[in-house]
Amino acid sequence: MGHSGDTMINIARDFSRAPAGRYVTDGPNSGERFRDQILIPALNKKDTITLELDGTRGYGSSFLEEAFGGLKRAGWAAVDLISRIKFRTVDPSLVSEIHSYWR
Amino acid sequence: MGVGIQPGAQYAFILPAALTIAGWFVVARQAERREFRKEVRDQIRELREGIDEVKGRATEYWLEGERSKLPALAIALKAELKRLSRLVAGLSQAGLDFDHAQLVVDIRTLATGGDFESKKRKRSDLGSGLVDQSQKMTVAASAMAEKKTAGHRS
Repeated sequence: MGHSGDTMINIARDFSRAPAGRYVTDGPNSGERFRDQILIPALNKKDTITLELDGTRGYGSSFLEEAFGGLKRAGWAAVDLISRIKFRTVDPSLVSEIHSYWR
Repeated sequence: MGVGIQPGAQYAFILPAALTIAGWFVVARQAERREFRKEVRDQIRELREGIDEVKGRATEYWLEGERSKLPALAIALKAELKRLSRLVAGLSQAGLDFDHAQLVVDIRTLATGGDFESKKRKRSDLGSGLVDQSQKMTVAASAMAEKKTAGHRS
């Protein structure tokens, strides 16, 4: 856990080392399930979220778009998402891609 | 009559010594430039190979007709994209200034967007997008490398 008001989520540890697919119908590690079962509950109860993206076998854009782009479609404001969700990763292209779904 | 010593003759060794030291600096600088250019050339070559790998893996994934083979092909493609991202970041750290993150995003989106890893995924031919994007990436990196090494030459 991070400091008070901050939730630390490590995708590899707290969700899956093999995130894959867009919808729940595509498999148990889909972007839709990650969004609905991990991200939205964390956004609903905490001030900020720190997401550790490293440690998985990689991400497809379909997963990223559904998990993170889906937050915007679900009604979260881009400015709110950018200020409340922080990322930890050695791959800056992942953060660029996720932010592009919020613009 | 004794042999007279020219005034200032005791300092005559200074000029050859200074020229020798200057020569060492020039040689060291040239060696450094050669090394830098070699390093960048190697990285560009690796990047080209990495892009070819991604194209190959993406082609395999999107053209595969047998559904049971798709998970393994998808994992292989994502692993290559991770490697590509590391290679591009390496070029950026070497001082080649281009929008590396966005180029990786564009390639990843083309290769793994849409119905990637989805039950709705249909076997299809690759559009020209991935090829165009990867060519753009290689050209951008090569151009920056050329500019950078030219700077080092001057």
